Amino acid sequence: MSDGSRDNRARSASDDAHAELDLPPDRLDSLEADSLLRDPGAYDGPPWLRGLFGWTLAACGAGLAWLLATSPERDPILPELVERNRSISGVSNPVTAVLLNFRSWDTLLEVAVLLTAMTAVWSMDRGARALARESGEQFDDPVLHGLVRLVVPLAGLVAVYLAWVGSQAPGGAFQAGALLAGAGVLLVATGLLRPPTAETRVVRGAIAAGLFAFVAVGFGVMPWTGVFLQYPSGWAYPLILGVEAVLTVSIAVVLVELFVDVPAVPDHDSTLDRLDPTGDPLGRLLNPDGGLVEGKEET
Amino acid sequence: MTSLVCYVLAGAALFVTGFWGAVARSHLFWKVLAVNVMSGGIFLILLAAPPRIDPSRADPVPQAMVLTGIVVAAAATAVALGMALRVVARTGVPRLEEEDRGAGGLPATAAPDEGAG
Repeated sequence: MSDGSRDNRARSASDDAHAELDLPPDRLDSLEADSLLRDPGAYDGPPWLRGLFGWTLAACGAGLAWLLATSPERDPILPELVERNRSISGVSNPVTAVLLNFRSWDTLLEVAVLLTAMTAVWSMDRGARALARESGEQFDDPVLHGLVRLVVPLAGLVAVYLAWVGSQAPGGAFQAGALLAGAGVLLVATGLLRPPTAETRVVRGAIAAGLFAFVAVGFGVMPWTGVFLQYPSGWAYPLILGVEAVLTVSIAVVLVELFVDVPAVPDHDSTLDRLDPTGDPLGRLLNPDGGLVEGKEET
Repeated sequence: MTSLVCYVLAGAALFVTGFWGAVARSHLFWKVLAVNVMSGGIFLILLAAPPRIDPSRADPVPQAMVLTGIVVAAAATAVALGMALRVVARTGVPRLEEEDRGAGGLPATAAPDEGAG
């Protein structure tokens, strides 16, 4: 019942949004989710230009393929370097050795990129809120629930294993984080978990923790080695494992958060009410609250 | 070695296909998708092309780069989709309008006819 009243309120708010937008109705219709995805936005320039571009691109592709396929054999310098220094890296998996020891600076910057992307998405603030709307609403499907209850713990277990085994075999923080994120998205999409928001302190902490732990380790080893991120001998393995553990959680939370993309909206913000209640994931496109607000400001 | 050449060729094909999509499609979400196809091709080439000690094992350095790249690509995709949603919210159409197409833009369904004409 409460659902119904909420729907009605949202629906009328959505109609208001249509009226306020002052757009021809057919334009709004053209934004229906179906056409949004079915129409790839066909090429609409002159045909000769399309042909020219297509053939040029095909020629470039053929040239690229030919160059790559006929490039002379080179000595594997980099893999040999890695192989020679693997014993001092603290881990036996060469990929992890590169990621978290030899080129750990790159990985650190990558985690910084993740944090930056997260900040950018949050600052846009009017992105997808379809899943925020669904929070608290569970799908009453026994098969779905059974599957989720089976898959999520399994994903957690495999993620822990992947993070652990990364030092000896294929695996590591990124694979484990992606797997955990998959489990998290599944939980959020089925309504079993409230989508994390930027408001939640734990979420913000977890997202920043990856970068901060990495930087802390980087500076922390300096009194012993004098070089940023240069692990003291004997300490490489525990440090790598620790960084990987924090990164796993951090990456997982960032990926879930990027997916559900829930902005920080105060409770009294009426923009959430304007969301289309039809339940279509793309229904949010019908309610361009951002355009609405800014359109008002311009006039 | 031959299978590696296949991967390299497939990577080049993916890259070109994605490039085509990113330029020729006007729909912003398809552009984002196309750029992802391009990056998939680049990852494939990065893994298959470099020389190896043991033919069955890829060079760990490009592997690490690709792992990094995948995560960055996922994050960049999220940002790009967020910006595309902002464009939809502001203009009402999921594409960047050309100046000569009028301020209102065209309904998405009218685009294919235009292309044919």
